Amino acid sequence: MSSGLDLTGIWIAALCTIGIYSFLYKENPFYRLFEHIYLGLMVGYGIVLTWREFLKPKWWEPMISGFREGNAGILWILAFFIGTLWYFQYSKKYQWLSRLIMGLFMGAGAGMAFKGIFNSIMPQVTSTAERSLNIFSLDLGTWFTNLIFVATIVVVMTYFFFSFEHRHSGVKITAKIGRLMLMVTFGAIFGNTIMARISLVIDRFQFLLINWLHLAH
Amino acid sequence: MKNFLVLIQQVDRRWLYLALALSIAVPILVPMNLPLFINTETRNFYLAVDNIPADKIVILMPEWDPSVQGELSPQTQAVIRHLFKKKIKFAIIARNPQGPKLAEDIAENLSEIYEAEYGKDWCNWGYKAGGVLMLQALAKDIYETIKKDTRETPIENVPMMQGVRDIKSVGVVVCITGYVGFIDSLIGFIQGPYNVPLVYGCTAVSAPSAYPYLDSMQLAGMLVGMRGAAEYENILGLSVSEARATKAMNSQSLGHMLVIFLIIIGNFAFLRRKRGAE
Repeated sequence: MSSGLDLTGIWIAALCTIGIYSFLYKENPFYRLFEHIYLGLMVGYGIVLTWREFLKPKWWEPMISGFREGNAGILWILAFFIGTLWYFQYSKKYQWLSRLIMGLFMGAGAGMAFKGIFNSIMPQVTSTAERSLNIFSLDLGTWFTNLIFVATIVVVMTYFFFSFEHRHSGVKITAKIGRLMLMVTFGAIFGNTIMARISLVIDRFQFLLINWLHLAH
Repeated sequence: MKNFLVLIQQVDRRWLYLALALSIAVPILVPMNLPLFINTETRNFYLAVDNIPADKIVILMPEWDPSVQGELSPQTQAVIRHLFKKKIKFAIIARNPQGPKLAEDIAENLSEIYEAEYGKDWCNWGYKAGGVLMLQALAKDIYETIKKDTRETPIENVPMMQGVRDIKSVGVVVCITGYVGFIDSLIGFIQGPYNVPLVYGCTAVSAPSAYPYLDSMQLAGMLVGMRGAAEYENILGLSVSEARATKAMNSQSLGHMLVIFLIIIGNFAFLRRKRGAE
């Protein structure tokens, strides 16, 4: 048995769902209202949580305790001044100040990305090489899969080779097959996208028909 | 015939929406039992979670929000059921603000059924900003990075966290997200350097970009969208009332059939009209 609060929540959620889906009929103020409510809630929730879970315990509290007890936490005030450099993007005169912090972040980001990509891509390169070497594996199924895998890599990379014009018939045909393989990939992605979108609709229909209208169990 | 071909090409899209709505609603109202097969990646996901040593915990990262709830909430539910059923201790943490609260609601509801206790069997570390820097710090020192759980209890005082200091105490990381970048960073900064098994629950849209990670064994298993959740429910042997994703698969199948039919008929009409015009 749903409590009064649960029931109110279910009715609000049902109204929100219908409001958002009313866009499918045509653009209308009812849809706009719920779209703005949703965005406002997401942003508001995000701001409160960022303050409560991150800024307050990691920056504000150590800094305040630094001021009270006279310890090194006081140095966190520097983070505030460094952080505010981002906002000089809005000043034509002092825009160069924002480039300092931007450069710092880009440098740190690039370093991190290099480390991350090295860890995530290298095992894939190794795995591809292993497949290439095992192309004549005795197991027919594995052999065939490896063959498709390696052939696809070669033909797709040929398609993306732009240093010379694809005039030679061998290169031209290989690049065409590469494009065909890419189309197959896009088809697979499109199929998955349909599956994903339908799943989201099903979830809302389950909610409306089961939780709200009690037409099914 | 010509009129029919013109009609198909010019049909108001709202009729198509209505047809799709019916193909989804009918299986919910009239239960069907279409067959469901369990894929290898789902089974491997299950085994990775099922086989973790008794002295290790699971880090559950439900990094999703209401926009992908339809796909990722059933996955999170299925995984939490599994963890409660097997009495595997787990901690919730996410790099997006909404995820921990949504997962906590699921865990709260299920903890009554499986008689699990907060703090002893599971806990919520909450939302943590900081991206890859946070991940690196977490791997080295959990106490220092998390400090307090969402109920303001210092992490060293949470009973299940006794002796759980760093990533060595973690048996498997379960990341359930629609953001592809999140799994990339976990592979780059947790699975790769520390060799911790990582499993991925993803939306169907993001699945194609994650398959290479399965081939290279950087991911121990994967759940793909609602289908993945339904397969997981089947492995767990959940009852009809508990297996919501499994029930949804009938609507999914009918919806797909309709889309395939529309693609075929639309292309047929287009090509016939084109040939007629030539």
